[in-house]
Amino acid sequence: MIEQSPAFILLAPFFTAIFIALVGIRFRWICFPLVLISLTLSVIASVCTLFRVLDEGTLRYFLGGWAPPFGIEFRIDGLNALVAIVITVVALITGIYSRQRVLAETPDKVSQFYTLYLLLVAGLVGMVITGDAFNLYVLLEISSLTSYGLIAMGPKRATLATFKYIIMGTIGASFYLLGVGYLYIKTGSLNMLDIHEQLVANNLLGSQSVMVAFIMITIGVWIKMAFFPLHSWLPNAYAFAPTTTSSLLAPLVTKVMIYVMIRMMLTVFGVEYTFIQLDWSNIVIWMSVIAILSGSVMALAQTDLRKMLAFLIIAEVGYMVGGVWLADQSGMIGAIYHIISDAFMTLCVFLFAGIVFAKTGNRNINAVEGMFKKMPLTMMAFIVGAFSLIGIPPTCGFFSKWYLIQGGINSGHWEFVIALLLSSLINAILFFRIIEIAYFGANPAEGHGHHHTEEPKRSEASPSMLIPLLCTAALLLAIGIFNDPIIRIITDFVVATGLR
Amino acid sequence: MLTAIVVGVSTLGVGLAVTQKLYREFGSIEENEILEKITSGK
Repeated sequence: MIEQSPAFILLAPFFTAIFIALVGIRFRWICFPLVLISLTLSVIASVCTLFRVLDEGTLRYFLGGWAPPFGIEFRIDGLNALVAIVITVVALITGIYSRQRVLAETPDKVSQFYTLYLLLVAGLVGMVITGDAFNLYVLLEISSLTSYGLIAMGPKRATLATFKYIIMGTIGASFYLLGVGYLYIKTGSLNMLDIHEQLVANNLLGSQSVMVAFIMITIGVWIKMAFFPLHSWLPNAYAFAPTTTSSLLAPLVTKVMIYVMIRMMLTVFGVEYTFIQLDWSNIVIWMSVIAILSGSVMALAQTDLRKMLAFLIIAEVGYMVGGVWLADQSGMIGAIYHIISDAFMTLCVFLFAGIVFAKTGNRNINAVEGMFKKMPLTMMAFIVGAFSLIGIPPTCGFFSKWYLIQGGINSGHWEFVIALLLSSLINAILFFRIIEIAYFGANPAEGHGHHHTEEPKRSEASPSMLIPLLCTAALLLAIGIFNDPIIRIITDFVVATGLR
Repeated sequence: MLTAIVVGVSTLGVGLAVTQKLYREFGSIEENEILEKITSGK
């Protein structure tokens, strides 16, 4: 049983999705428990896999017993075991959270929603654990197609946002596929590790086509992760999607694409090729600086709560791309640690935005008015998430920024350090504005008189929405306080790739 | 190769379905008309 744990991570949500598609239309009540069971199984399997990786080193799992050149291989090391846990845990938390919102927002499409939801999780997890470049493309498309469906279930404006996302997403995936095609022509292999071995053995790293493949794959992945000039699809898609959808997509999709970029750069092309032979770090870091600053500034200009958070994601993508391209050990550790912490902090603030929307029916930032009195627990959890995004210890956001800044200083990219600090300041302004509105009201000067007269009653959100939010806030603190073992796993991975 | 074709066809299918939904909701598939409706409608 335990030998099969890598397969279970992927297959539990996948088969349940098919089962829900078959049975869920008739028996609507069965969907939610099945989703929880399958995602719990998936979490257990991914935790087991992490412990096995820690014990035995890199795991190689051959699906159906077929060895790599012909069969599909799952290849799991410290990096993807961690990211797989993040994905399954976020999916489980959002799954619990979804119970009420799905019934409220898409009452006639419950089984369809959960089918797509589980397929999306399966696609994301598959992308992370697969060791095959073409397999990754197929799973990428599975996760994108399901996310188009999930976003399009939203209100009117979501449809147009979905259409833009379809166009951009398909272009991105096609770029990636073209890149893999070039690699296949040159090496005759689709297995990631095998491609790297062939590239080195046949002395192909100087070849022009390999460079084209690298550019294609990188641009394709950048489109999918909404790196700054290619980000236009993201804000509307995440702002107008149904609550549960954006709470699942926002933490996961961009972060999984960062993982794919790291995997491609470090495992397929190799550290030497990406950082020493190509030497594009300066350009990419300047691009990420622009991404960080413009994402933060655009977030300042938003009055829609979820749209503001969506622009923050664009800034966060800038952090991670920059951190990866610093070509420095601490920068890489920071970027990978930031994948984990950013997934949970984004989840935390998006769950909060969902609760605000569910309670007030209002998308505007002013909707949080007076929430400290009405929903103190919700606001506490939000403050933990906000502090983490700003980077205040002991939340995990502080530690990832610490490593990123250390990487920037080590490699002498001061522009990156300055951009990070500026963006933290802007985050502080953004979140303290929300906290101020929640505490004092939107117009404290004029509304002062009757604020005292009407004492608002405490009315927290229902437990199925509140508990996931509180769990996420607790996780943010836990990941921050117990960062040492996580950093050790990441460091082992980064050292093994030969990055100094 | 075959897989990429399958993926392409399904993407096309989803794209067409979304276009149909756009037409139902906005009564048009011209982008500028839709944008006009969004800016004036609310």
